[in-house]
Amino acid sequence: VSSDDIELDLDRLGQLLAPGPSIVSAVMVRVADTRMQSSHQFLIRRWLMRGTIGLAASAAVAFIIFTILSRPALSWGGVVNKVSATRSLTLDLIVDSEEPLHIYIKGGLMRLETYGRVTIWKPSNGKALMLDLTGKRATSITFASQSFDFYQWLKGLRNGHAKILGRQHLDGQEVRLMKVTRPVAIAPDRTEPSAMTLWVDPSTQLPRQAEAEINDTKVLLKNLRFDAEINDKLFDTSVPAGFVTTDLGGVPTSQLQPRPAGQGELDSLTLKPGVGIGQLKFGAQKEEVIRSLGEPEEVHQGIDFRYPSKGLFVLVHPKAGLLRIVAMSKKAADAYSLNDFPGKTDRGIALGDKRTQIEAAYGKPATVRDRGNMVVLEYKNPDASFMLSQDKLVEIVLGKQ
Amino acid sequence: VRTDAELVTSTIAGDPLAFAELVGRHERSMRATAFYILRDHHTAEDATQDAFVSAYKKLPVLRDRASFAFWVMKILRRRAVELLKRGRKTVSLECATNVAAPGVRPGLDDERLIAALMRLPKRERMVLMLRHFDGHEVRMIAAITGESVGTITKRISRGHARLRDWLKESFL
Repeated sequence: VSSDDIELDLDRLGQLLAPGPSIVSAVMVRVADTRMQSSHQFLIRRWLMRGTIGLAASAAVAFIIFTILSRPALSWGGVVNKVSATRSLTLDLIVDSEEPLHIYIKGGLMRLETYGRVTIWKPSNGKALMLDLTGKRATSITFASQSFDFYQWLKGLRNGHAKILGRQHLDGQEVRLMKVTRPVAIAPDRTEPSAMTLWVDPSTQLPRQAEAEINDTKVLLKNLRFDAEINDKLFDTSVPAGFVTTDLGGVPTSQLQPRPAGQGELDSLTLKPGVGIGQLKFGAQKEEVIRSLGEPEEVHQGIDFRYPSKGLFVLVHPKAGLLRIVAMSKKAADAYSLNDFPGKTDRGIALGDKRTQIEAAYGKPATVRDRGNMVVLEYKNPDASFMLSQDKLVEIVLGKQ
Repeated sequence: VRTDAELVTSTIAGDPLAFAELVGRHERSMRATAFYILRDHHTAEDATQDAFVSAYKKLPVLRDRASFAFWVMKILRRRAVELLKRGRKTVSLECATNVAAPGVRPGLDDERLIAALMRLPKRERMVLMLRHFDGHEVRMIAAITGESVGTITKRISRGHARLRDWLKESFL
């Protein structure tokens, strides 16, 4: 590289790094099969499915950091008391350049608003009601209780190093700018320093805005208002008149039945590709399914039998009988509450196993699909697929041939 | 020439050709960035396709439509890093490009240049990539970003100057 011919060098580098024909047509073929997500659907999914109760934490974090900074002699219990004393909070959450989500938090309830869509959510029991105010549709679902550990956050914050950057004006009002750097766990065995910038109102000594970059994603918490008056009606979970309601089901984590552990029960859950599960064979009718697996804990649309305590879903067609068996882990189920499937396949494969173990047991798959954070090994004969996340088996699906 | 923001709006309104135009505008910068991370042309192409498809799905949530280029690049970087973490070993740029394009003789100097490019402030980096990798003229880049020709010209000059300085320093 000659520093005098930088333009030519850059032109040449472009040719070197991205040679060959255009990918436009390949992308457009894939896009043709893709549905654009509505902004509300995407944001709610981001919010609920990724366990993003971290938002509440993030907002509270801003408060807590300030509390720690301004009163260094404050005891640990005092900090916790301070946090508990906060009764309500409203804010706008903006992730990267996306549409803001308006959030209200009060007494363990949360309300999320965007684009005439509303979600009212109680993280403690996972109950959520989503309202499409324009389309007059209501959807209820019970998510798994969030595993977010608030006290871990608090502990992590105590390791933060704070620096006051000076004064600034925010919406015409003078605020103090602070930067706090703290270690954040990015993997079970690895932490990296993460910085958060706070805009603090000197008169109330509370933050009005906070910004952090987490895993290359910029999260901006704007218009923070602590102890704001919030009308309880905003958290009313009754479905307005005239709305069409869909219940997507779900069992609160606290109400999950115990995970099967006895040998007899585990034998009845042995997955047999091409054959069935335990003594139950593909094609078995509803009554046989219930005799073998027990009464379903949830039934959807009359054919989707769910056993969340067993991490098992089966599809039973009124005529064709048992068609599909899905054995899941909590990881694959995302926010849906269930126990990890406790059984194994007839060749000893269980959730958590690696790809090499699956291929040693069943050979090379017919197809390997890469779904971003998941890899799916698909076998054609018999019809079976194994989904892995970070080389750990998280879901097994068997189908009738 | 329509701006990126206008193309995003048209795509959301149901015009697939608008999205094709967006892909065509940015694909080489994207593929070069993916290659910088992955060091494999096939995987870099997969990552780039994945990033565009993912961006298409999420397009309605993009608030600042003029920032499409930065946004899709961020999606790409995440995707490329995911693929990298999935056990792919990194190799030197020289080795990787020799395999893919045996007629070319790049070397460690290219490593320095791309590393320096990636260190640039993101707006400077983006215009240099649009200029040199995607091959757009200054007027076109101004149209794409919705900024003035003067701003783009200044940004390109600043980027070039910064790269020259950094590369001179690295030779000392």
